[in-house]
Amino acid sequence: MKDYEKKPEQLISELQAAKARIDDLQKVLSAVAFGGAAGGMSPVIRRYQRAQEALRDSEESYRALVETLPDAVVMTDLEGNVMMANVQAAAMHGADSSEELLGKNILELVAPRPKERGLDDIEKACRSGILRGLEYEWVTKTGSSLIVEASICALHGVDLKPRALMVVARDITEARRTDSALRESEERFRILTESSLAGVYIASQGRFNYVNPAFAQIFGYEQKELIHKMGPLDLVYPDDRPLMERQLALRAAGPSDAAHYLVRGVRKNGQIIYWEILSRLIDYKDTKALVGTSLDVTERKKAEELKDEFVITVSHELRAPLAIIKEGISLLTEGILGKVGRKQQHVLIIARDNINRLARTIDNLLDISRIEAGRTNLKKTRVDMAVLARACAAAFRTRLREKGVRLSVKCPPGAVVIYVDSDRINQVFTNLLDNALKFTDKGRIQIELADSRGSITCRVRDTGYGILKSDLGRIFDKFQQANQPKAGSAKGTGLGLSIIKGIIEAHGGKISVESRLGKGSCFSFILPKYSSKEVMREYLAGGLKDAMRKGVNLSLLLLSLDIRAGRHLKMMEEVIARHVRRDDDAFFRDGADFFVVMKGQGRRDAALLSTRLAQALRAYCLRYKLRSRGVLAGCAVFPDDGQHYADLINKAKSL
Amino acid sequence: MTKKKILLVDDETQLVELIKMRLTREDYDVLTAYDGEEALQKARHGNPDLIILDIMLPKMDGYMICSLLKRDRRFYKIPVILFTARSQEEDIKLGKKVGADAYITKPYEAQVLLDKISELLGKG
Repeated sequence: MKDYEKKPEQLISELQAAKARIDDLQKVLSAVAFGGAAGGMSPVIRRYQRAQEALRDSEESYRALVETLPDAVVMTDLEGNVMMANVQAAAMHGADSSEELLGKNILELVAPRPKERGLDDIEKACRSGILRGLEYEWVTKTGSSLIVEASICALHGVDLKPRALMVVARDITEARRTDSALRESEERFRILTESSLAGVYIASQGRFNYVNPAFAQIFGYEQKELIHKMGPLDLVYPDDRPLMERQLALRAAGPSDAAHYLVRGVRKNGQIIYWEILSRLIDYKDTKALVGTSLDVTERKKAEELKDEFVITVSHELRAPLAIIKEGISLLTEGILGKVGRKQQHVLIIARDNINRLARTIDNLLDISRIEAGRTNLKKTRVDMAVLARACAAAFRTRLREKGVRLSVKCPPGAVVIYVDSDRINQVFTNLLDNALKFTDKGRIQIELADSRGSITCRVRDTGYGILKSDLGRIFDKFQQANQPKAGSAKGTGLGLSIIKGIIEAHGGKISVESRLGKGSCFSFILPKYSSKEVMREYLAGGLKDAMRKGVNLSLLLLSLDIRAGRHLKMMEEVIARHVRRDDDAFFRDGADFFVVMKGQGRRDAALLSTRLAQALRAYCLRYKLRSRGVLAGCAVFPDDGQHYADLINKAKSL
Repeated sequence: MTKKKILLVDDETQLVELIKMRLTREDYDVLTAYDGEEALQKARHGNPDLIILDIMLPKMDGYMICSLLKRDRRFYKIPVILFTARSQEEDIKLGKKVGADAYITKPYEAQVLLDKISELLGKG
């Protein structure tokens, strides 16, 4: 500010200050002048010089401080006119330099609050010396506004009266925005969980931090009875407590993927329910907590159990009388109870055939009910489809010859290997061939296999009657019979095709049919090829789930060789098979790596088997004079080495 | 030559009647029992050469009976055919576990049953 711009009072006080300094200087000079003898004056001058240096240093520090502060620093007079502003203040204002701010009144930069508030604050600052935590809206050059948090400090002159103000301001606009965004997001979470139909809870250190109304309702409590007062272990059915404790321990220690499991819970009124839990580890208020979704699946479980029981009971109740009737009729037809006339015999045979048909229907119903419930335990093994198809075809040769129909099997050269349940796939071929034979009087039936990279396609073609276009869509439905069965042939149960569709789909495949009336039909199904690695993973994952549930160990062994010859590796499978005899153990080969999954076995048993297998493999190599640097063995045990199949595989591979 | 004695156990009296007719025709001596207790009693005191045992029995099921007999030094040699309408894999596995010599599901082919009987008796 130029001197002519300064107010009179200001100039006076500056002059006074200057005069005070001159007086001081004069004193010093006179001290120097009248010092006289050597030694007497120099200390004073030295002190003066030192004082000057100190002053310069502190001025320098002050300047550096003001300019490097990330906050805006503005010095104003008692009316708020800016005398000095740092770079940040200029930047905050949107000005190009600090000079732009000089002369402006700070109260004008603070809007739209009435000036009175600003003046009030200045006055307060002058009285108390410093005022902190003030919040203002700061208007920039372009008219946009920021929210700042400011402090005002009164600077005193040598007369101890306030002569200027120091204002330090911090831009808190962003922080404010984040805050409100956070609040909004928390609000949304709250609305979502409060109104969720699924029970949601957050728990840490054995207590609920939060439960939503649905969760409280599942257990028949009020939210406030649960929050901070009870925890998940208080609600679990005592017998299932160990399972939940295991899950909680694993969640707390391990990686944060979700745990999905089923336990029984106890409601406030003592009622027992089936409690399905999906829980995850999260960071919550500086600590780890579990967030879980819960469902009461009691009804679903009961319905499943009832259906299971029903199907089994019904099939038993239907079969028992059927056995009696059949035995009775057999006794008669075989003449054991006396001679039977031809007509009587004929009628009895009709009766017996229909009993057999009924028995098949019951079997099929049971089958389809299990397949649809996803409860067929597919026992997958390496199967050569070509061999399977040929074996099936062979079983039909006599009937085909009788009818005069030719059967051919077309396969690509070599084996067509895939991991499937061989009994079930046999069932599929048998069923398709049966149908083909039933509806073909002349010509041929052909089985074709095609091996593509990710899957195998099988086709059963016939030159039979074909299927009505209107029937094609429903052909795989239950109890659908084709509209033109050959007169006199045995009627099917109507379930065969729906069963094989179920089987194919349970393997992850697809089945379809093409047909031309009068020309013939072609049933095709595709089965995806799972690598032995994938099958092993599936087996391992299933085994781990069981082990978790039962609270037992599971071990994974790996024996790795440096042999390449496929022929030998295949034969080694047989060597391994001879040692892996327990029902609960299974082995898988992936290239030159042999994996053995041992359910219910711990490290000691695993080590024993590992040694035996390694020896057997070495003996094999010796016998066939194979060049090998030996067998590398690795082992991983659940739960010590991990709970996820990937963890165990990695640990086993780390040999 | 003494006739072979078969103990036939099933709670369906009509079925027992019909099978007995057939077995008698095949020149076997037939003992019958209709519940678990009776079955055990007759197995232990009746000296059967073979037992046809239904599973769903009142008082004690067939698995239990088979298990008890097979663990008894006096009777474990007697062949046991488990006979039932239950055909689930688990049932068959359980049958093997308790030591049954054969497992036939109802309804059955009469000839299959007869063949199995002569096979198991041939061994003894």
